[in-house]
Amino acid sequence: MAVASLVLGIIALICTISGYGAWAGLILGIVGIILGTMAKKEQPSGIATGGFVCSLIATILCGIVAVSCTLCTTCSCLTFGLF
Amino acid sequence: MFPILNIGPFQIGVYGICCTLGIILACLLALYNGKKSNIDKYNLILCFAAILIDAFLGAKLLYFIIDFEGICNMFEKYGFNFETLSNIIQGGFVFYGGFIGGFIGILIFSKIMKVSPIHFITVIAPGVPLAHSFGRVGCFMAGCCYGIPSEKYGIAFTDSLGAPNGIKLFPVQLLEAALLLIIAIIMQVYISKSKHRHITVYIYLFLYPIIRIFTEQFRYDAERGIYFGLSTSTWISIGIITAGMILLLIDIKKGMPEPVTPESIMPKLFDEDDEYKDKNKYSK
Repeated sequence: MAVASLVLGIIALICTISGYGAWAGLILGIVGIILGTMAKKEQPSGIATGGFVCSLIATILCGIVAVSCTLCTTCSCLTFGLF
Repeated sequence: MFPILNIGPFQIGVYGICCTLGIILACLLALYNGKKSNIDKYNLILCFAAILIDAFLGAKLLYFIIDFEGICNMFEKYGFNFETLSNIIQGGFVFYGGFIGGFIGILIFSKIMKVSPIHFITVIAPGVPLAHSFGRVGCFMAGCCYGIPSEKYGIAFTDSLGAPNGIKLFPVQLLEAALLLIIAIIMQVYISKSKHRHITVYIYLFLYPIIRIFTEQFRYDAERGIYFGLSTSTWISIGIITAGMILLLIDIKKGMPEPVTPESIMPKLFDEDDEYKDKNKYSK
């Protein structure tokens, strides 16, 4: 679980720099946090801590990039002719 | 107002920064409350993850329901491709969808972990209006969820992608942010001082819908959905107040759980047959 958490965290970090993959990185980061937390609970280790921290950072960065309510509804986009 | 932050080659949405900052502060507050309530921090973190996933899904699902026609129009205009789908997924959330989704997340988590949900709900509750307050500031920065035109109290947006630029609009987002912050402070003070800590949830269940119904009167973005003269959020607010009243009545009928007091957990100082219990024994 610790290794899986680390891998998911790294993949989520890579997704952060991709505009379209940010929301996928958000989900992967949260799953990485879950696995990292469960790994730390059962058997605390450096890899578990690393996976948890990596997933946490990735989740925060992906959250900033993915949660962009430039418009609350796409209808507003069309209404004001912005696209 | 200030929707995009340019850092070098990167353009970051200020709304995303505000929301993420609000969620981080809410999680830290919940961890602090959890520590005081002797709740395992790892269980609390797992609970956060469950809430985040379900809140994300709930907020997005309600947005799809409210703006189904607009989303269909977008697919018709730009085609059903990954870019259009990604733009729709990244933009547009409805708070109440996230609220209901997050609540369901806590229930699912409690069921899986076989723990009582009320303890988690109690420690997490004060963070909800706090995070929402930051989200509303983000809404103001992005120019969404805008207010009615007002020459006296309005602020004209210049770079908004949602609100009409150049027209003075009432900053209903900032009003709601301030009221939410007040609710968060009231809830946190109550949870710190009171013995019946779970009552803090009722404070939110009654206060926020009232505030939301009040601020809805100053909202001007019709795209949020209007049904029988009231907005979607107003209908949901009425539902939440009703649900809160039913839960409170059930709680009162069942009887409030006895608060934990020092006397209830201290060992008895005297046995029933202890000779010192008879005060008059040595006075004769």
